[in-house]
Amino acid sequence: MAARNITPIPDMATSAKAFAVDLEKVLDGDTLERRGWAKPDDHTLLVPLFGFRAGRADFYLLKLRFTCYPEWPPSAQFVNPLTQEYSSATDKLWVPNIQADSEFAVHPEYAFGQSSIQLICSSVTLEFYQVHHSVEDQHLWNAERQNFHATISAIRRAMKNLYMGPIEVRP
Amino acid sequence: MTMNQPIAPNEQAGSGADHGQVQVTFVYENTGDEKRFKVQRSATLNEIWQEAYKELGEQQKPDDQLESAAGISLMGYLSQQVTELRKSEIIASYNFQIRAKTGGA
Repeated sequence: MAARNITPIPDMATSAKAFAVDLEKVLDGDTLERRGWAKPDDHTLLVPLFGFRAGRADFYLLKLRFTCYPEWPPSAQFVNPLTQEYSSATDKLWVPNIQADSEFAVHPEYAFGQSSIQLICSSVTLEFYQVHHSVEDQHLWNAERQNFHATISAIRRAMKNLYMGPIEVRP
Repeated sequence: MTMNQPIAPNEQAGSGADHGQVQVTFVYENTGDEKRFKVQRSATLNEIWQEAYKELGEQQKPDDQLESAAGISLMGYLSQQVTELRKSEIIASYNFQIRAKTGGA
């Protein structure tokens, strides 16, 4: 089980195996294609999401990376759909502006060590634990009771209820 | 809230085929597990919620929330009969989801 103030350590072999098992469970007989998801490698899941505002549907691409899984949740980042990577210098327009509440926030440039990262600030993302964010016991990631479906659900919910447009205006 | 679906003939009270029962579906957001089971028409929302934990093999957490499939909180309706909620269009179907709060922000 995850714990506060401990830095997650990658375990690529275990992560790939657990991701494969949980992906099959979550799909429950469905397929990646029908969900609109993509699995470019054994550690990555790409999930398209939309933010709705004023009659518009804004497209976003959520990238989940499974490196410390299942002991810790997957890494979650909104990425440039062309590069499938994120740089705070050029890709903020691909990050949604989410009105923060007590459960969720998105920081496009969160100071971490000597640099900055994109932080989807929720106890169901790996980055939340990497930055040693404060968290109550009942919200700690529990690998016996949660899988990456919890991560997608929390982000999808925030996109539905708290979405305010892209962080940077799109051309 | 999503548009309500009309009440299907087999959802009507007293319809002979259902033996006084209605089929409900619960999704547990933490895992994506889905369970479908039948409950008595007289069952309250809280009763079927508790049954859902048994079906899912999960334990209720203090800040778990019961929602409609559209993500609308139903915490204010727990003592009401599920069929009455459907009739009064508080719920658009007998599909529900259980969500656990997260920490963040």
